[in-house]
Amino acid sequence: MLTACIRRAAAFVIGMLAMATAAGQTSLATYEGPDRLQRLVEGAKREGEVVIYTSAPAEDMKALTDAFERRYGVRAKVWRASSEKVLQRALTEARNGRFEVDVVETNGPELEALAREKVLQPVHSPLHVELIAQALPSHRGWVGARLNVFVAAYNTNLVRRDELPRDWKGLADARWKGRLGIEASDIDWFATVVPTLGGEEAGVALFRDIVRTNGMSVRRGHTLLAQLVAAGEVPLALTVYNNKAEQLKAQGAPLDWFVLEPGVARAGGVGVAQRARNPHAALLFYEFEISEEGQRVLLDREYVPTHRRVGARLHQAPFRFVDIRAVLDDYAKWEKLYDATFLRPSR
Amino acid sequence: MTAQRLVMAGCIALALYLALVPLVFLVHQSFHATTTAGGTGAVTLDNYRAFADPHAWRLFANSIVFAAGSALFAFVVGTTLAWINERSNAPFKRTLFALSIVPLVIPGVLFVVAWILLASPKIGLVNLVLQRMLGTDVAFVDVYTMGGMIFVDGLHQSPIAFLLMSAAFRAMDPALEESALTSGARLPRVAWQITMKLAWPAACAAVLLLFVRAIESFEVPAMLGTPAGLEVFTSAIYKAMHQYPGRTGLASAYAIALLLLAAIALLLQFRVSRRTFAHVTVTGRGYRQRPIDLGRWRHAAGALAIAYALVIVGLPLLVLAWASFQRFYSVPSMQALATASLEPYRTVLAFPALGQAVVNSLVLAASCATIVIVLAAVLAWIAVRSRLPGRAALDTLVSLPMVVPGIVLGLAIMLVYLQIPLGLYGTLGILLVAYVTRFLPYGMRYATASLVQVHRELEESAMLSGASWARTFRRIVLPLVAPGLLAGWIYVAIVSLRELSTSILLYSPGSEVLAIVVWELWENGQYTALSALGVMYIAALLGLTLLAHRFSSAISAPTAR
Repeated sequence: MLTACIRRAAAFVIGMLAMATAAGQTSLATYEGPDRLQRLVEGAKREGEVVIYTSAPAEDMKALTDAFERRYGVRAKVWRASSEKVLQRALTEARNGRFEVDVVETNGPELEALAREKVLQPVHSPLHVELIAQALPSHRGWVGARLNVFVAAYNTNLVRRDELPRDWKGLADARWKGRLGIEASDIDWFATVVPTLGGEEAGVALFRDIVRTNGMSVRRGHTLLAQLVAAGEVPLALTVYNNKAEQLKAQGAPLDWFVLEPGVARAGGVGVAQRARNPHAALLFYEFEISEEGQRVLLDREYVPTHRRVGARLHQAPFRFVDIRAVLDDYAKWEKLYDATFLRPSR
Repeated sequence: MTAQRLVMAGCIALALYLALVPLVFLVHQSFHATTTAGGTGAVTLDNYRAFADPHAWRLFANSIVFAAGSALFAFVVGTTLAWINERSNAPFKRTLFALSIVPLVIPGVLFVVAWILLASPKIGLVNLVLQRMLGTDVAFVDVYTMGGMIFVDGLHQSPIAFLLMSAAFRAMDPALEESALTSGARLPRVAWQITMKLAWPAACAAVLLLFVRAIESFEVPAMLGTPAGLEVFTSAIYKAMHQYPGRTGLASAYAIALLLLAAIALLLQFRVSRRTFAHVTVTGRGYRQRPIDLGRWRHAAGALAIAYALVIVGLPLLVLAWASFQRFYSVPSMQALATASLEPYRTVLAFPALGQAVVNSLVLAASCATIVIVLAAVLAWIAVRSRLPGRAALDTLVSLPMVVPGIVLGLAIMLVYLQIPLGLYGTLGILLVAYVTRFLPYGMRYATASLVQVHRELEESAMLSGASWARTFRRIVLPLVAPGLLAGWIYVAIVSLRELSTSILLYSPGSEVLAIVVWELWENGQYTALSALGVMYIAALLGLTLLAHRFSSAISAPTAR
């Protein structure tokens, strides 16, 4: 009887504490007063560290966290995996009452999923006005910090610049027989390009026509695809990330890239965990990544930053943005279409 | 007697616990609707409706063809080499032992890329060289076919057969072979009718392991099958796991189909190994290990071994070594030679947390292999020797996690240790639990295969002379099966170093392992740096293997003295 009472009382106290913490965080996350940054810095210094789950390459993340540590003296602990694993781990931990992560840094679709699951919390930052509109989902559950741009990459020894197609229809020309390649799971790219080619039906029909005439070498992994272009195994690949193409080109690989319009861009970025253990440090890292300083670090690593000034030159290209929420809602439909078009064209 | 009961009960309890975690998880998930993050909703049979789709069955059929082909090919290659190495007097044996397990050491993704560069119809070196020599543009070999997949995967896995069969051949009294030879039987007939029949339990174990592992594998089908439109069952599991909302229930239903298949295979194999007396080669009679004189075939066998070493091990190694001095992957040429650089090695050595990862990996590999082999030795003894009711079920049950796909196993273990507050979550310990669960079935096969070759009479005489069970086990059983256990230890240690699909979900900051570094370099397209890491891996492991081999020769073949 007594123990039951004590247990109930303890539960009440813990509940109140949790509410208080949550309230504290919410107000901080959405607080936009002039001393916002100062309060964040002071709090973060007390906390001492921030735990980040990310799918960004280790070296890129290290550039960002090094700059962050130098500026604020707060240690960054990084866990790295693929974007699907980042989603899986953050979600599973949160569902099971384990709150390890402070900041999630990954691709847009996974961040959107985490925001929907209420693992991430809305943030209102005075820095948001500096970013392009497409970087800001209306619920503010995460923010786009960098763009992944899908480009077509070709091997310069095997494909002449003057024979490159001008548009998607050009790929149906028989000269591309046995020379085309694509990544195995670019569902969001497909869902963005297809509607622009005279509607869904016509768009899918065009890609089916291309595959029927010329075949399509399907590869798993964007980096593998880019490397195989450089090695000459895939002369022309349709969905390579621009920063990978740039990196290979800079290393002297016989590879160049171009954009078949519409070029497709997808935002990736950062979100703050609802139950972050280090709430100040988490918000501080969030702010740092979208600050001019953080965005310049990303630019140096060949990313397309979402900051209007820092990414100005790159934003001029006519990109079409992946509508992440729409893709997430219709994923099953697009995946089926994608598989039927590229992976199993005979079916 | 109490010591025996205590040890046996402890081992059974531990093994059952380890095995039941993923199995219960799978069954439970497969009958529930999945909410997000592995949470479960209402009870349902919906997940099993996937089997009404003929496409699922096509994938299943592809998986079976691929796994059977790969298993048989790996078995033939591994066994031939093991026989030459252990039973014949062919030259270069020690080198052969080390070379035979090199494919095991090369990270899977790199092994496959090396073979794309060698045998792709477009840029494959083998094709290019043959085409130039013969003045034609026919593609001679094509790695993007079912045959190509079987070849590459089979080669990569042949060390499983090599290690198992070597141990079996070593624990073999040559008297039987010699009598056959002196009675005028020809060598191939002796090899097939005497040697192979005696090694039958090990052969069954090897084929089973190879088959089950290939059914569960993902690298080769993903990289060689996808461009050819050849999808396998694991790709469906992979897709179901990586969707949002995740479909763990569907993935589990798929995995249960694999489990059933494996359970049948395991029970069959158990029956084979129960027929103990048929395969006993180690008895109370003393014998001396003596290789068979191959006569004029001696040099042919040596040549075969060298050809294997050059073509199968040498070629991919050369591609690897070549790539490790380049800035990006390219077909060897004079032009590319001019741009050779040490950059990839610098990149690897400067990798964040590399030192920590090396230490963690070595600690994990050594402790996992040791725990697995000790557990497996006791469990195998129970399965083969004891009269305990339900021993067949025990043997099968603890072996089943072998087919649970790594990505599913990772999630199962994660969920369990999030809910059981043992303090394992987020530590190196959770990785150890995962590895032991995953590799105990392999240890079991190594231990059982060697134990059935040892005659019961040796233990009985020890017991009759008054030795306790513990003493008999330690002084008689363990030394007699030592070659098999050592082979198992080597295998488990190496695959632990490579394990990725489970580790990636379970590691935390501070408990990084080498396989994560491999994955990281692969994901970022730093293939040349990865090749450099591969070269260092191989150099280190070759050194270790030679040491281990010397050590195992020193403890010598098991002779009953």
